[in-house]
Amino acid sequence: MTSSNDGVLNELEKDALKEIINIAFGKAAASLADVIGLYVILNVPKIEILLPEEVQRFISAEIHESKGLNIIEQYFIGKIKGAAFLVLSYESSKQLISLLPGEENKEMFEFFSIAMLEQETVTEIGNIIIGACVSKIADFLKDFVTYTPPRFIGGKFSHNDLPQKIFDRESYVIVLKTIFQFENRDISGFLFLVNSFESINWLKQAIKEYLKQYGYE
Amino acid sequence: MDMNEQYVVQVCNMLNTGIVILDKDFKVHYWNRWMEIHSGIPLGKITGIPIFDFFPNLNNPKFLRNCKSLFTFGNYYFLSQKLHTYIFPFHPVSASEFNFEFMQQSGSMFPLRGESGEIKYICLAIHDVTEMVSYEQKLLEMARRDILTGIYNRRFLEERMKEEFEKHRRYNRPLSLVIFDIDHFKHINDTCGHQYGDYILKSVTTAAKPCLRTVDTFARYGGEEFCCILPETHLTAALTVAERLRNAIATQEYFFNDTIIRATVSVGVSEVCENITTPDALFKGADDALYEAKKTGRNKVVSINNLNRLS
Repeated sequence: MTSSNDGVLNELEKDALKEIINIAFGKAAASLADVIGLYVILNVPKIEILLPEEVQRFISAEIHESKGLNIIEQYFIGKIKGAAFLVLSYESSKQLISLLPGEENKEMFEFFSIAMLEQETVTEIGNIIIGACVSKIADFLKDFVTYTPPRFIGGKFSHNDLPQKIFDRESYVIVLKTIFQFENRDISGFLFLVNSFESINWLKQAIKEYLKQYGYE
Repeated sequence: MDMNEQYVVQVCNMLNTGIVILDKDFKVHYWNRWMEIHSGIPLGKITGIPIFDFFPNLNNPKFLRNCKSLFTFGNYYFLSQKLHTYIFPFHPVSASEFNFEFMQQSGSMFPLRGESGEIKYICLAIHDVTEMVSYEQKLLEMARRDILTGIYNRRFLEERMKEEFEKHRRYNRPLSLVIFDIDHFKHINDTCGHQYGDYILKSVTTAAKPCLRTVDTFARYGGEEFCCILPETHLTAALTVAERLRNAIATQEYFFNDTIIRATVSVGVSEVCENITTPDALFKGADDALYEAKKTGRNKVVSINNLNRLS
């Protein structure tokens, strides 16, 4: 985007980070298949270095549509710190719910609207998908993270403020945008991982270790 | 932090929250006094025993999936009362006050890590939310019901219509709507008084109810107009229901000052089809049919199809 933040990670480091994330996501996909019985393809992430206030505009622009979306938000705290936003279309959420064992018989809940129950289920699944991706990156950094409860933030991405407890207003965030897709199914969505600048040292260290094997010092 | 274990145990036992710690084989490692009180099972009797031996209801795909996720990813998991209603089948604390078979619970699950960071146990924290849920349900009931007749109100009808339409669209299932209106209701009100009008509204509701299934949504749309959403129902079947409704109401005897009087309804019926693809169009179709029934003599059923032939 802007030239001022290009120095945070150079092109080589960005490429290495992409590879690291891909390896982590490969493991996440395998574990997800084990946990929810569905195989997920996680594509090569797009990496952007942004200022905290640019995140909302960036995500809104990347998802192109503002209607019919379900967004699940969760914060994670470890050596890497940040926020995860899982974005699913309304249709994809419904199809996803229908594929999960133990999610049938929704009609029996007379009292609450079906929409509300779907929202709760999507949040549960979002929690698992986010957990898989974040924990595998943390594994790579020999770190473990704790999470805040997942939160359903409804149809529109409208976050003006990322929490100050996690994000320093003055410094950059590293945004990883990933498209995920369920194998053989017409279900896909986006995962945005917004990492605080504090994470950068750990990431750089991991990148350095990773590059060593290719003879970069 | 240098916290003596004995204090931690005391805290756990004083909490108004159930604490359960499970190992990888779902065996109970610990549970606190709250769990002892509500289950009637002392810690000593359950320690080392798989939780499913005592609570087979937890042995379901969802719970197993989330435990697996916790052990694999170390994430945090919230058990919503709305989805689960309860986690452990305990009696409500004040059974007479609340109309629930089981204590309503919400809970959370999180990993407990050993010294080297590996996940050794998962911990469940259980909250009694019966009182809150009871208030929530009362409020929801009040927001959904028509105060006079006790059937659903227009707000709920429209909400349900959206959901039924969604189902129709997703599974391509038939969907019909019946609208009926009490004939000459204004006249009844004017000559017999509003109290008598209220009595007629209630009686008509009572007469109509047995003609409908539990999956149908029966609501007072406004004034003397009523609506029934009939899911999984084609027009022909909906017309049968409509005719049954009309007949039940017309043959019912209504008493006024020791004299029996009759009330009748005019009925309009429509079904989702090529030309009717939105809730509004479905309402309009049934309403047009109802208008036709009023125009052509009252105490009768008119279908959207008859209407098409007329125009």
